[in-house]
Amino acid sequence: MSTILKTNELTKRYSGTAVVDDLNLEIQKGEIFGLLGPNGAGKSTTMNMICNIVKPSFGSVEFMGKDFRKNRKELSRHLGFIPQDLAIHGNLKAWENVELFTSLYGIRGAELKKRIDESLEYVGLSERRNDYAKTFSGGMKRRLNIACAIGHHPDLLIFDEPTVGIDPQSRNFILEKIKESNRNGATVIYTSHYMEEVEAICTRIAIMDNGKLIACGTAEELKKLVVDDISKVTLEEVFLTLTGKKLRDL
Amino acid sequence: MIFYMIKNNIKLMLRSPLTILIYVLGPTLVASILISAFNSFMKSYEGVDKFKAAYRLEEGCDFEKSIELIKENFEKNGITLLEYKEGDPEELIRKNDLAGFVDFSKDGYTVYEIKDSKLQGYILEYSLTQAFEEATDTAYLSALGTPLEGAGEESAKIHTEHPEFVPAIDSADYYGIIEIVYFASFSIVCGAAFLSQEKKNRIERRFMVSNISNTKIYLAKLLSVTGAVSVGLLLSVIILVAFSGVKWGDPVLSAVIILMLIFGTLAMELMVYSLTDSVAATVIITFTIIWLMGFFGGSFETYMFSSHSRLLKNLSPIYYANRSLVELSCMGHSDYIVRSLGISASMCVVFTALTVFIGKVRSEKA
Ligand SMILES: Nc1ncnc2c1ncn2[C@@H]1O[C@H](COP(=O)(O)OP(=O)(O)OP(=O)(O)O)[C@@H](O)[C@H]1O
Ligand SMILES: [Mg+2]
Repeated sequence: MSTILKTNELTKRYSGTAVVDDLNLEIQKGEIFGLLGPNGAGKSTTMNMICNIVKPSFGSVEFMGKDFRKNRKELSRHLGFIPQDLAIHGNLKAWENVELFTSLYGIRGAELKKRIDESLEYVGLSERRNDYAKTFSGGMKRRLNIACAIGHHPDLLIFDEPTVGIDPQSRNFILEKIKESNRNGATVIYTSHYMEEVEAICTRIAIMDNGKLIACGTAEELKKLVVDDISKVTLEEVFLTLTGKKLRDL
Repeated sequence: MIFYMIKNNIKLMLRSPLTILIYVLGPTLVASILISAFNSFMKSYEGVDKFKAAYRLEEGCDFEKSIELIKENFEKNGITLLEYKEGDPEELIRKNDLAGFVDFSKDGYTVYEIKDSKLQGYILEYSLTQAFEEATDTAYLSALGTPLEGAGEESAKIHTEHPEFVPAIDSADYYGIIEIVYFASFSIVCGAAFLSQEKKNRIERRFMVSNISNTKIYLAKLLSVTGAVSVGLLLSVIILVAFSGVKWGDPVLSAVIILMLIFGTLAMELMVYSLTDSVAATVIITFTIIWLMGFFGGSFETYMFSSHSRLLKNLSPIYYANRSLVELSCMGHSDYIVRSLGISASMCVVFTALTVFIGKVRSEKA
């Protein structure tokens, strides 16, 4: 397997405090990589730095073998980002949202129409394509948020907590879709604090706390860090053992 | 492809009730109110034909040298100036059916006018201010018989340029045109409809991930706001033409002048937005700027009878647009068209360059 994305000593400081501290991650092509961490661990900040939304204080991101910041023009179209808080226009219809954000990648005309249909179909919103996004339920908005990021067929999909605040059906639907994308060839980075989700779909998992990477490996490898008999422990217990039980975002 | 960005921005603007209200009803309502308020005033002006006024020149006073030029200039404004060497000004006015009397002396000059022909007095005073504008800054408004103070020695440097031509126009045409110009200058309010949504939903993250250039995003904003505002104003114009009978001299040329003004002022407003990064602050700051430009450029009173100094008028891009459009309407031609277009175009170019520059600096920092 080859490396698709690598962070080198990635660091972000806000007024002196490091919220992401010397982070070195390596994501292999074709995997579903889970990033776990309590609230405020720095997961979103890390994703935002990878996606060029936030400028790192230090360190770099290597994407498809090249420095991402220096080769944005060429590499951006290989990346799809689903932000944690929705980035959609309530006053645009579902298909118009997808049109606007897919067109940013230079797709137009008949091809754009095809991609809009395909993206909406993918997230199960074809029937509601002509409805305003503001009339959607939370789960539908989350799905639309995804549809807006996949129309350009990216090789790497980054999901920042895509299942926050939605019912089990919608969550299940989204997880299935992530697996489907992965089967179709996309590499996925997935952040969450739902352990079962991560355990169910991810090939490898990294645990972050206070901006630092504290463990990385398959679910079994992580469990072995805590106990010898991995059948006696859940990922949640591993997580709590590694990150402590104190509240984080006080 | 910024085409899709423009398209969706326009949709967002047209779906905002505020935009519709401001751009379709705004100019229509404001113009209608002003039209009816100033109808009688402008009508009476229309009825003013040539009229007579008189003057007396004290021997050896500074005005002697330029009196012929002053007379010539007054003639152009429809005022015949006759000389009366003797007699009491008030009596002369009554006896000779004069609209006013100007007494030039060594100390300055005094204007006498009749209360009944206020408008003629207005034009007389207007012509005089025009003639003396640069020579003396002294106001000389006077009621009947009130002698003037303080014109003093400065009047030695008499300004002998032609007084501005005062075109005859009725209030419907005047206000029907200048309110469109005023609202056109403030197009950021229309843009605020989608800019604030873009901010609220933090849409810029998607732009950053996709790496679409700042210049393209800016151009999409400039073109989409201009497009939406044009649609709104066109409806406004249609309503005003249909219900108030506003006459536009040259529809195509007028449209070009307004379009360019939108580009110029919007570029300025978008630059303020790129500086402040806040929709509310941008609206407040640009409203102040545009209000001042409108105030000096004749958006709230007729620029023809405006008492603002020439310098302030000249600084207002709205003044040039107002003037060229009004003159197009009532005279069919205007010397101000090229100036108006040139100023709008320069504003557009300069402010666009600044915005792109600010965007570059920002994205390198962010
Ligand atoms: N723009 C900012 N300015 C200052 N501090 C910030 C900024 N953005 C994030 N932070 C801080 O950085 C830390 C990490 O935030 P981040 O959103 O990356 O955490 P997270 O792991 O995604 O948390 P959550 O699970 O709640 O989404 C937090 O303490 C947050 O307060
Ligand atoms: Mg987060």
